[in-house]
Amino acid sequence: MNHAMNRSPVQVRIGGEAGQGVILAGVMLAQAAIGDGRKVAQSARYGAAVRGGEATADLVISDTPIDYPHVETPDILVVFSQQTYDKFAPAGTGDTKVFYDPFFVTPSKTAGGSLWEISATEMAIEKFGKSTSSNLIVLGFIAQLTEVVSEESLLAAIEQNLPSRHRAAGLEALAMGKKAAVEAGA
Amino acid sequence: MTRDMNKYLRDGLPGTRFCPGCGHGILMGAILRAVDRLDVALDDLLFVSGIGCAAWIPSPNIGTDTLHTLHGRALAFATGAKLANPKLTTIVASGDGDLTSIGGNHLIHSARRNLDVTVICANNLIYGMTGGQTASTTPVGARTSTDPDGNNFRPFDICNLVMASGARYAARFPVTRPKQLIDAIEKALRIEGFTFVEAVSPCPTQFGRRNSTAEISALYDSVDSQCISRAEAQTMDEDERLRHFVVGEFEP
Amino acid sequence: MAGRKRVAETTEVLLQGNVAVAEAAIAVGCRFFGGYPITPSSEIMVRMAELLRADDGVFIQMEDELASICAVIGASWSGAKSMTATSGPGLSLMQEALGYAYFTETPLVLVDIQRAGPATGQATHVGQGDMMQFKYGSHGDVFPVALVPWSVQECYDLTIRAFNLSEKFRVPVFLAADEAVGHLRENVVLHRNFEVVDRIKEGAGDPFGSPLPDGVPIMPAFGDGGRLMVTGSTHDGRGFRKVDDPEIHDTLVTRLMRKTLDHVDEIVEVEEYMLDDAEIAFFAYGVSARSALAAAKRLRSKGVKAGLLRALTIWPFPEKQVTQLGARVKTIVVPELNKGMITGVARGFTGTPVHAFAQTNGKIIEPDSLVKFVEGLP
Ligand SMILES: Cc1ncc(C[n+]2csc(CCOP(=O)(O)OP(=O)(O)O)c2C)c(N)n1
Ligand code: SF4
Ligand SMILES: [Mg+2]
Repeated sequence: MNHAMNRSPVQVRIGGEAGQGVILAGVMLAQAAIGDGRKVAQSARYGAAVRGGEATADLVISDTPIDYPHVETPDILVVFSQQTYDKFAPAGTGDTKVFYDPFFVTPSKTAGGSLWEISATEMAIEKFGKSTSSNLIVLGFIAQLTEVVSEESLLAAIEQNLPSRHRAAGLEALAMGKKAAVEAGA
Repeated sequence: MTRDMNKYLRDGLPGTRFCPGCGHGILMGAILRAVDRLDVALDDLLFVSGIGCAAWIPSPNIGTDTLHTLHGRALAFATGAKLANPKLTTIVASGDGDLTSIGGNHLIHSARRNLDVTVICANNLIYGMTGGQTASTTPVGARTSTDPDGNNFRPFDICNLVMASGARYAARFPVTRPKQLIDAIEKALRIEGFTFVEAVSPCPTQFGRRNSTAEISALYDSVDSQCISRAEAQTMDEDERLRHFVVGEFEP
Repeated sequence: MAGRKRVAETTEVLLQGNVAVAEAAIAVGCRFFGGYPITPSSEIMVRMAELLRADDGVFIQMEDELASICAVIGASWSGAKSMTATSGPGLSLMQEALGYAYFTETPLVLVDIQRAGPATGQATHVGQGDMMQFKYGSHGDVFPVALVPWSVQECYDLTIRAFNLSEKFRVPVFLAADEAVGHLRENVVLHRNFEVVDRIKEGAGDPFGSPLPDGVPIMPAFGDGGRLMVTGSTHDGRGFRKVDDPEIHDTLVTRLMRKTLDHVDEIVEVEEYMLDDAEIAFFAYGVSARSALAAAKRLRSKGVKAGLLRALTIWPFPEKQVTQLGARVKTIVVPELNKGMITGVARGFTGTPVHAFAQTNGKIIEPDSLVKFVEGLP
């Protein structure tokens, strides 16, 4: 995938619950962005609870050094929980691309931005018998649709982060996400 | 002190600052005699102490590397020094208040980790330097500046405390029995790992004068007469035992 | 070296600020870490454990922060470059020993990942509330050094600088970082090609006096045959306790002050952004300086001539630079994650109005709220 120089910075937020692989998805996206030769600032937020609380990964991706390192208004919002959808989905107008997993989220009619549904949890359970690679399906989906990171860099980031016994499944999950995006009419 | 101990003393030393009759000077002599029996180069010896009269035993008197630290923290400093240079034969010499009260946590944790140091606790049953306040080692009933009518709380049995925490060796002897004391310190120094010697060291100025033993020799006699063996201790009930010093060696 | 992948000099990798601190410490030669876990600094300790154990260094988890800092001082006197890391509550516990380290001229690095205080506060949220503790936390007059990183790259670079300054001047150096920077992941280049400063072990003079030309005495280690007398009581050049001599006390306290203050030009680092024609300037440090830089750019796009003076060294305080800034601009704004600690200090060095943008909600400052604040100024 070709990247034109000096695209404007992209702000990405991935929200869900601790244990859904939200932070790992953020880290892999950040590594992929660096692989693309870009600057990235990635931060994470957890709720007060150690288990099962809200978890959010934020990224700013830019071709130039990043001043303010946190997300102000996401360009890309990925939500794996109703709670983070309700909290972060833009009200009224806005250019935010919102990606949601219908297994957890029912979007409201009033929220703005453009809405993309990706049944990652269902797809993961159907294919692998458990939901753990749903975060990778979503990454494949948004990489294809938004070109926020290149496919090669994302593949490299997955190789780097997944232990070898999970790698093949990880790459397959990514491909499933990509295919779903193509079918969704990218 | 006989002449051949002079090599252990620091050059240019005016003399110690202890009060007349203080047990800490005797204890210093015992430590040096025990060290003298080992084959250790002076340059490889490190003495670490906290704050208090007892902490002045090594610093500056003993002419090796000395680390005179903060109140209670001698063992924490010693941990760093020893781990960063394991070659150093490291001896912590400090007071009862320093090692068991403000520094009590470092004492049990150093024993638990089996830090390879020898700790010599100069137990004068009181805070000497600050004016004779009650310590965590003051016997029940003993008068102090903060308990003029007598202390109500049980003292620590420090030897059993460190043994329960993992020490390899502990011993308790009064400075009135120098032969056993020196032997115990030597033994502690020869055993690898955390070893501990409690030296009962009379403080005439702060303890003696408040406890009807103002006469220095009477204080020494009274301390010595309170010493009992572990076998004798077995025959006593707890109250009686608490009025004595159970002397001897404690091994795992 | 086991436990660590070698990367090329120029390769950018993604690392967390806390991890970058540990990587830098090892790269500059740190051989001892003593610590006690505390959010949001614990990643440093965990990474130091991995790195030191893989490379025959010493890692020890102590029983509390009192013990951690004391072990670090002991290790430093045994010749090892040494470090600990903590956050507010631990920093409070360490204060007595930090004064000891300063008074015994013990090189060490203390990394403070600031969180929202006082007390336990909000352990996982950011604050910059320890700024005065670096300078005023200890009793007595102390003149330590505190460096403030604003990025992951600077977590790496300033940790190296902290070790070098502490070795050169025999002074404890703080890395005054914060939760936002410590937990941020960013591009970082782990350079290997930098100057490494080591304490001078031998030479003329005594270990606590008779200074070398730049005012710093020699520092032999335990076991080197120096028969050292290290004490936190007032001491003469050799280390003999001198607890009644008024002149020796004054001479020592003064020499230690001069050691840092006579070298402010070397120690104090600042950076300027868009100040050439600025009428309003932010004076900022750490993560808040990133908010300020973003805000200054937005103000410029609205026609307001804004700029930024950023302190990379906060202690000793950049007095001269603040005075010069005051002469150049009409207004200074200090954004900080406390109730105006550094604002108050800055006011002492300029007659130009200095406004505090003091935010204590456990979040970093949004640039737009700074823009609005500046637009609302008289
Ligand atoms: C943090 C701190 N608290 C209190 C003191 C004051 N202080 C100095 S020595 C001492 C007691 C020392 O008692 P001990 O260790 O038994 O030694 P001794 O003087 O009895 O030999 C105290 C409380 C101090 N130096 N530091
Ligand atoms: S006060 Fe007691 S312990 Fe201190 S020097 Fe005098 S006699 Fe010894
Ligand atoms: Mg005592």
